[in-house]
Amino acid sequence: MDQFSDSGELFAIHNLFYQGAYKEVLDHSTAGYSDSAQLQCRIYKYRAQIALGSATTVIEELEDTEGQAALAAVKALALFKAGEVESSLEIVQELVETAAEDANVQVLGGIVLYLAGKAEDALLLLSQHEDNLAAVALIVQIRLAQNKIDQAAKEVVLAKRWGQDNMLVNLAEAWVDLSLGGDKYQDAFYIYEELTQTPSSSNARTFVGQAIADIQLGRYPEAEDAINSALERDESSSEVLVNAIILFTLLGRDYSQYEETLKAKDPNNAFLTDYEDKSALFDTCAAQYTSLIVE
Amino acid sequence: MQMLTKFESKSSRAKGVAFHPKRPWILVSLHSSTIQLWDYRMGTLIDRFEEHDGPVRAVDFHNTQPLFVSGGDDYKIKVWSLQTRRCLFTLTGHLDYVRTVFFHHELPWIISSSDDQTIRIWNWQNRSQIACLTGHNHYTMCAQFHPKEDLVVSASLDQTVRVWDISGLRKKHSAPTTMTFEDQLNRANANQGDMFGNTDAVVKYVLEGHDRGVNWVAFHPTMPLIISSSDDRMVKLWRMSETKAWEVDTCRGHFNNATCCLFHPHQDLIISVGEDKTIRTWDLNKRTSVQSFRRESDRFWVIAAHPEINLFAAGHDSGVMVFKLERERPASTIYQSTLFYINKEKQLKSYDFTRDTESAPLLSLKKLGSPWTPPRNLSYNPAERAVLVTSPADNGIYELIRLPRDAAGAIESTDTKKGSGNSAVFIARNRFAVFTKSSQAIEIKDLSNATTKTIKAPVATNDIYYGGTGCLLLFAASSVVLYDIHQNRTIAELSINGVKYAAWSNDGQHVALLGKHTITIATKNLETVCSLHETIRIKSATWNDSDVLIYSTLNHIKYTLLNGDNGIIRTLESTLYLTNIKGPIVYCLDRSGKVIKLAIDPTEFRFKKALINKNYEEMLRIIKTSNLVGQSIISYLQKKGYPEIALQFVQDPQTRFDLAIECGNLSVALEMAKELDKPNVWTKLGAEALEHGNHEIVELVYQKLRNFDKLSFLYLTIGDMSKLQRMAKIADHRGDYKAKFQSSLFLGDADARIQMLREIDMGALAYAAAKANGKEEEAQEILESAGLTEDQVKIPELGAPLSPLKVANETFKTKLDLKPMEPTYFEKVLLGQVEALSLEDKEVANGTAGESNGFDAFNDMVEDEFAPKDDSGAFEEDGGGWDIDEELLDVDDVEDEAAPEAAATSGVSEADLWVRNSPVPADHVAAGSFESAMQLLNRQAGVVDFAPLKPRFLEVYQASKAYLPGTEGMPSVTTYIRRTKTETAPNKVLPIIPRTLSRLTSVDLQEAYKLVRTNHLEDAVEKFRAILYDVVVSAVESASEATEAVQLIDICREYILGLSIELERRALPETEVKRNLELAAYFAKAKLQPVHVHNALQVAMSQSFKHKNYNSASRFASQYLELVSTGAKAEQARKIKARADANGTDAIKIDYDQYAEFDICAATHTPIYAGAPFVQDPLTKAKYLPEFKGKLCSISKITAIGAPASGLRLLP
Repeated sequence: MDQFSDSGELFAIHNLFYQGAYKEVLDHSTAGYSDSAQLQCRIYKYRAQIALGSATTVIEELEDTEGQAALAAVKALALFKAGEVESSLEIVQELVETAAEDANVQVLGGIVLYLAGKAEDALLLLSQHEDNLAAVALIVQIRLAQNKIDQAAKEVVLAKRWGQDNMLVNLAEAWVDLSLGGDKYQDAFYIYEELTQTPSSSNARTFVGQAIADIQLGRYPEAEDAINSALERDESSSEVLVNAIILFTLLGRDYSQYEETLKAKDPNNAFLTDYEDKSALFDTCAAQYTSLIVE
Repeated sequence: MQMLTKFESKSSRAKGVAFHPKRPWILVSLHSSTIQLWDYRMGTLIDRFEEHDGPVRAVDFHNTQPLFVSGGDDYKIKVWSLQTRRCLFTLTGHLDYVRTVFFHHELPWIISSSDDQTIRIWNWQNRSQIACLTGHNHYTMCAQFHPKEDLVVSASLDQTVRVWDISGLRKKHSAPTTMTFEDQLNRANANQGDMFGNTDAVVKYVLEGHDRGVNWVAFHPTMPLIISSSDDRMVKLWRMSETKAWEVDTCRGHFNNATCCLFHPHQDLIISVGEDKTIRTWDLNKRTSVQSFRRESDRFWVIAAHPEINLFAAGHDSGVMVFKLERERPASTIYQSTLFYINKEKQLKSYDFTRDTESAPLLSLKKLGSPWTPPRNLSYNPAERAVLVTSPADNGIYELIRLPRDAAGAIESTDTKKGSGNSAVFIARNRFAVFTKSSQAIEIKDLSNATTKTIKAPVATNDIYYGGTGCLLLFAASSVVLYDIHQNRTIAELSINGVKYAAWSNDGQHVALLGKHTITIATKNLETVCSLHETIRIKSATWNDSDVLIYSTLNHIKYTLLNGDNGIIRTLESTLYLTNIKGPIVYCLDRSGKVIKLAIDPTEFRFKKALINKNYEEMLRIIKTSNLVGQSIISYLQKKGYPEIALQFVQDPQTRFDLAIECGNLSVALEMAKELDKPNVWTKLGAEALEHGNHEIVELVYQKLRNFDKLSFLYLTIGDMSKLQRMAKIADHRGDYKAKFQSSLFLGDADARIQMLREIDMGALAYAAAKANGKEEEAQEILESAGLTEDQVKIPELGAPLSPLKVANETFKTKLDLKPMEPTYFEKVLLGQVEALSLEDKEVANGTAGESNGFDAFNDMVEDEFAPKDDSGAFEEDGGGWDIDEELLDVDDVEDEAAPEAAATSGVSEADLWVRNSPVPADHVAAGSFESAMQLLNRQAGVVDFAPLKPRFLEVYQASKAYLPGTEGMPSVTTYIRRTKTETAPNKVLPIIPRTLSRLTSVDLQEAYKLVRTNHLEDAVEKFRAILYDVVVSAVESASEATEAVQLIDICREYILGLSIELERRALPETEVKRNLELAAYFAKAKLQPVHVHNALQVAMSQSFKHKNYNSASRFASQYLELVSTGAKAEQARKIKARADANGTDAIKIDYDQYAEFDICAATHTPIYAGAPFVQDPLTKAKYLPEFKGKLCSISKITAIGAPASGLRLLP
């Protein structure tokens, strides 16, 4: 039986990690786990640490990863996040050649490759997975980013055959649904609603998802409720703040408070840089017409 | 089919049973000579009747009169009164054991059968035997009247069943009527009479077929059928016609004597009991066994059916059992405001609470389970519009059925998925749980009915229930478990016994767990909030919106609050299952599966709820609007520590007094005490007042009670010396020496004391007192009067004389200086102190109401303005030709640009699709394609200066995408927000654009108007321009909206132009009179809202008048009066007009021709007369003098005047 499945011993920590409850992942007790599970737990904990911004600590802890492909993959991700792109890619290249069958290598290597702009390499690595839902989710995400929605949808359909009720499959399905639109918006809403209403998965990330589904369905008051729920759970998460700004823009209301928090908290957020880029683009485009202006 | 036992008694062998037709009573006649009267609902023995000697084999209730009849082995038939519980009389005549007795349904007759081989009919009114039916040649075991016709059926150990015609008897005993000769002849001839010449009752049919003695026989209530049971272990069905009767079929199955049998009163079933300890049910139409229920060690002797309710009673060796053969709770479930339920005909229906309408049957479930078993549970899935129905038939089955879109009648569904299990509930949009009790397995299935996972119930579970998303409630024998399906773990466990049903509150925060006799309210995490016990069985419960649980027992609707306070709302005639409550209306299902609306009085629980929440306004409202009185509310308030509120409800002085004492309201207490004027009341008041230190009342009380000692002491303590003195005098009058002595002590009046002691011949004491107080003279006098000398008297050593008490504080003068008791809000309100406050509130409310009314009127006006004009269509068509070219052009452009990018690796992004799909600039902005957007704006509307549009561009762009949290370490998943919500075709999708046209007109435009009204003209100009920019970068859904957008642009232009003119006028120096007048006149010409035109005309009118341009002033006044005909301002206009008309000349010649058509140049604010050359702004359509061509439009500030443009495209 797959160890991440509902009955597997890693189910709890796996869910915590994918729900974004990183602090809880770090606090999760691993006592009584089997050896293979212990390793997987360590990986989740390292990844949680990276997610919380302590990539360098992880690098220090993983000084020597000789012979442990999974840990090496974690280290690669940590290095990448710490800005050491070159050494990170070196490790990944080596792992791709030697240990491409390792589930963690696939997922972590896939992330590093994608972040480094090698989406096709990432997909190639990920395609070797065997019933690895994390890899599926990643493939779906990359496919969506490439605007290949039909292929993403295909992945989800395939994964649903064997991964049925797993949260990752559901999430991936929701991503695809929100890209497909139409009736699928309601399906995505149901998925997120189910997650937000289940006590164990009711958190800021899932509420953001629900809010977005509500936005897509044109139900702004409900979306606002969901965003507020998300803010209640985590008022400093960039993901929440970004979407709060978007929602309030749509509502034509003041969002400066969230914008300031976001700028203070995460000045390099893609949303903000994108905004700056567009602002600059506007100025250059507009400049082409200045010659026509006659006061 | 299942047996649901409702009541069981323990006694000796029960030979006869009978149901009371109305009350929940049964009579049981026992082998031990006793007759018992039980209340089977309460389970109590009401009475015992012990006048028979030996076994009592038969009992029957009369169906209308308070009578019952019994027959026993003492050969006697006794008729009893239910009112006196006494035997009224005994009918004798039988010569052996009496086997059965029955009342006739309408005539005052009793039929009895006996071992003396006869059947006798008795009249219980004149207490005589009226017929004796002979013919059987062995014991007659049973004889019954036909429910409608004049027939009797009897069974005998002679192995026959006989049907008798007793019409002759009826004729003989009915009121005499005149008979024609023929009648008499017919009668004489028709009844040939038997061999004994008996014409009253003749044997019509003899039914032979049983091989042994027949024990019981019964008619079918409606059909010409007879059922009989015999010692040959057969149950036989017979049919009769007018002329003959024959055996239809035999039900074989009993393996010992079949003792009793009957037809089911409502269903096509036969029920029989036997000495083989079984109750068996048979299909009437197929004569096949349906089910048998076996009892461990008791032989069954008799069975009876309730005439109306679905209940049966069976007598056996050790007592009697009352049971029903099917659950009568209609399966139902609620989703939002729709109730889905299954009626008695096994049809699924729905009921809409918001509209109070019942749907036609959605489905027929006839084929589900067995025909005799109603469905048990229903679960609804709104996402898939599917239902899960479970039935207990075949050890539990379930069906998953998709509902038809429309209620098309009771059709059998073809699209069903089935399986076995005891209960099935939806736990998520695409999952349901099926529980099988025997294996204790919970299977999670998807909508294709495939098992995705199997869970072993963590405790021995009886039933499952929805427990919130992804969770189940498991009902075990002694606990309830909340179980998380996803994580396979128990979230919470609560130990309660025998929970059978659950009801979630509307907000999902609380759940009521219902057992047979207990209700436990728990939070969603199964923490107990409160629990309560009912002696009567609890049936159902539902929550109202404010967390009040309304529940039904067998005979009441009750409520409970979360703190456990409960009460009765109303009584019920028959059992109802509550499904929902809306305000004062409770929706229930009755046992036949019909929705019933019941009005209840929610006052009591609303009041209690308000009390607990300290919502005094609500309480006050309830008190004022409803007659909420009664002992229960008062004692409730008292118990809850609100005597002061209870006080408001009470008129009875004694209760009022008690409550007033309890809440320390002395003034009310005093008032009531005066009214009551009883010593114990006064005493109580005195004690309370003393504790409050309210000496005035204490004084009054003591005076009332003539409690002089206490009064004196009170005066002493409050230092009221004058009153003390009076007390001394009073004591004197009363001749109360003790009191007098005390007073003198209190007053320090030694003389009085000595005087008094002497008066009462207490010489020794008087002497000692005199001595002690240094009154030597008096002492001497006393001695002398006593005839003694000082030496003869021995007194103890004396201390210093007592000094009289001094008043330290004249408490009595001060009014009690206690902190005044703060009246509660409630009291204040009741005293009317808050009245003023609430009045003010009202005024404020009125004020706002007025304002909003104004606002509405305003809205109406705007909407009028926006009514589509007739020529709009033509306009659209004109523009159409241009746009098509444009579109082609754009698409080409975009594809050229996109081509090199479109590498094999990625698909076309949604943003690119938007650009391709739309010629609307806003859609390009949303896609982030600013360059093409600007190009479009430039070509369509001549926009050249984009800087002012930057915020709008970025706003639209920003709102076009949302970011879904993705895998950690990865960037977020981008999702594009569409305004085409239902569209999935890639060539049709379009982005959302914030600030829709309707919002611009309903919100932003109104704000701009408000700025005008409040005379913030510069801000208003800015606002109108902002609206203009928003319209430029926006998209519309329909042609009519496109027209609206054009109108909106027109409004903005007129206002910006008009307000700019007015602003220029205001900025003019005093000297520029001519220009001033011109501008005022131009402003009045702007096409504004009527209210704003008023302002403009007033300005023009007063300026003209001021500067002696009477002619113009008169004209403006006339125009003004056309718009406004009443009011102070109209008066003023009339005056101006009158005075101006008198002069009729203009002092200053201005450039304004009232008769000519002209527009105002938006740049120079000078007229452009019709026919004169002009250039127009492509966006705003504002007109300019020709020399402004190519310059920036002063209205929009973004477009170039006279630039070639195709017209702004807002509709894709």
